[in-house]
Amino acid sequence: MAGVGVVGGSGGANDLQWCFSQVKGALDEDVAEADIISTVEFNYSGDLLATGDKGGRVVIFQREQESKNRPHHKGEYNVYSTFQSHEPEFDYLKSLEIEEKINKIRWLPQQNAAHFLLSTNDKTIKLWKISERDKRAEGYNLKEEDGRYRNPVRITTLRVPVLKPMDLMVEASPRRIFANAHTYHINSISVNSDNETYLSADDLRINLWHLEITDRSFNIVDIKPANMEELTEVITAAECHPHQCNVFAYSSSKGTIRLCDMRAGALCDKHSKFFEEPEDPSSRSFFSEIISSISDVKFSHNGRYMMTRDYLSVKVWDVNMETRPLETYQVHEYLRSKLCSLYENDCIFDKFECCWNGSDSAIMTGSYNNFFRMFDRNTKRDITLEASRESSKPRAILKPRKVCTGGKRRKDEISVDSLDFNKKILHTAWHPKENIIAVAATNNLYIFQDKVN
Amino acid sequence: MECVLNAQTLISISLRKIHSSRSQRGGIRLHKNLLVSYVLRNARQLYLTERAAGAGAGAGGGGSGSRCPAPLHRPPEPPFAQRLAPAGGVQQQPVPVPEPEAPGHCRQTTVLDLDTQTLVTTVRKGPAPDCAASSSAAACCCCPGARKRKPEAAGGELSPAKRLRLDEPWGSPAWECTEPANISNLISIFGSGFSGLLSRQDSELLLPPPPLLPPPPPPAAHAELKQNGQWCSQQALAGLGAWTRAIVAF
Repeated sequence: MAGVGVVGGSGGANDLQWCFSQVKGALDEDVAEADIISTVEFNYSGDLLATGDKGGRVVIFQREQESKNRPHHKGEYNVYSTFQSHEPEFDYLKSLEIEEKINKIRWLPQQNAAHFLLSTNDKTIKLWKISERDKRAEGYNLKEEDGRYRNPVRITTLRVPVLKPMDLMVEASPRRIFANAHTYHINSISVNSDNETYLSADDLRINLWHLEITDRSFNIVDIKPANMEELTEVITAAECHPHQCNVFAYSSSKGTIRLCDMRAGALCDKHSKFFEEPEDPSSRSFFSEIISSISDVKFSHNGRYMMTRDYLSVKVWDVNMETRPLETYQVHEYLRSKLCSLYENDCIFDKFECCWNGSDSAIMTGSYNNFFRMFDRNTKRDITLEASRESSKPRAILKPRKVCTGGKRRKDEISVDSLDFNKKILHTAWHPKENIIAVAATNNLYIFQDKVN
Repeated sequence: MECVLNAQTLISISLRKIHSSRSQRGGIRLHKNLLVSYVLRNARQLYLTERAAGAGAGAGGGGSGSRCPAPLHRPPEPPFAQRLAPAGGVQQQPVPVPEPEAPGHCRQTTVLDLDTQTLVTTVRKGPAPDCAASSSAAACCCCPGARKRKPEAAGGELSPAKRLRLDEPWGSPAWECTEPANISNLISIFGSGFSGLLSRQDSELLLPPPPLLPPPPPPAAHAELKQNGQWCSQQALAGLGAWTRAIVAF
């Protein structure tokens, strides 16, 4: 994939064009709150795509394998498993209701026939095993086929039960429940490259867990001040390094990132690296603190870069350079003059995520009006696309969109004031190996792929 | 999409957000409330600057006279609560004023530590950082019982009342709680940090609500909005007390 332009645009034989592939979810205008998708994640092979929603459910889609019977459906994602991961709870001690909304899903690398994922709400993380059953045993000695027990007195012969094929059944079962370790709201989970541990982060603390052990965890970061009145920043996201199992990073509401090395000490309050871009004093406003808060941090697949998302931009950092980001991409700079209104309607608090493509040559993030943006790091080109029902014809090529920021509006452009701020794309995912993307637009999941595919 | 960007509007909006976050499902969001408090701080600083400039112009002397929201200087990073303390209001650039000597003044804060589930009482000697420092007629609010200051004292110095111009997203009639008197009430009450919100009698409000109770029903917002003028200060004060309770309870 390296060297091939991943961002579609005019000109260039190598440029990609993105096509509509599928859309999942109800078509109704009336969207139930519980159906709003709150997280999207491909597994390591890209064959499985998991979504979590505000109602605490997880839906897993599986990619169709190539088959002679359904040649046109190759590459389609179809529902593989659906289960209720979290239920609403009430904490009686603190008189608090705990939402069932799935904040994050993270897959574990596959080690056997079953698939494992971690899902979390505000307080509890669960490890789910998703396994297939396509055979069942027949010919039990003590049971009839309908399950009734036979009278043992009447059994005169013994036989070995045989396995007979059955319709595929996908079962999801909770294997571990990691609870009661977070006083504040969990915002991130991240599986470590050692395949044994994972971290979970809330507003003030990060805990390290062993996947097998649920009754304890190690607290590795604690930024809670002795006096809560002195609080100035919170943890907003955390991630393990993709290769170095001793390294992780976490971002803060002040727009900084800290890289920590677990070999340095049991408590990683002292960072190994501290990434901060100096503030531009000329752009200071009432809302400077809000828009500089980082909503997502992601390591590149090769582990050499980190990407952070704040309200108006995406930044790519070199892990070895702390003083300033390597690249900054403006997502929707035209919103800078609208911050007051966005503060009023709470949109300024939206937490957008970002993701890398498989080769780390492109990045993607969401915006409003069901727009999402892709940036090609090599060609420096960017594109705005829209996830809409109108352009949802099979294999229809997505047309680039443009927001008019002032002056005369051209025919195909949309003005800033016409943007629908209720249609926001907060969660996107890029297939780890191919140019297939999943974009969550409220209660719908759009899947797009490149024309070549 | 238009929003009036002035300090009073922002303060009102921010207070409303904090108040409504109490009844949000899932509990108070620490991150969001922290960010709202930053906006509150920035707006308050501008408000005090403008007021000081107005007072300075009225007195024929000092002050910058600048009334528009110029880019704010990023002040030295004060902590969460002390951010809410006014910082010597007369000057152009708010700077923290050193605590003057005042004998026998104690501030007591009792919080419920959510982690250990224990009550922790901190007693601080000396006045609140801003107490008696401001010469802009803000009453010393950390003195027990002196919770409400005289609105007319501040009202006379201030620019004419500005009405809120909102798009009425909450379906309420335009409410006049941005009257300078009410805003200055709130500003001065914030002045002493969280302790300044409560008199001695109210300090017991810092104790947690009894456990095993279901969550309280959301406040009857519509009924309260019908009162004019006083709604903002009274309700927000009541809400702030509970917010204090909740935030420090973290």
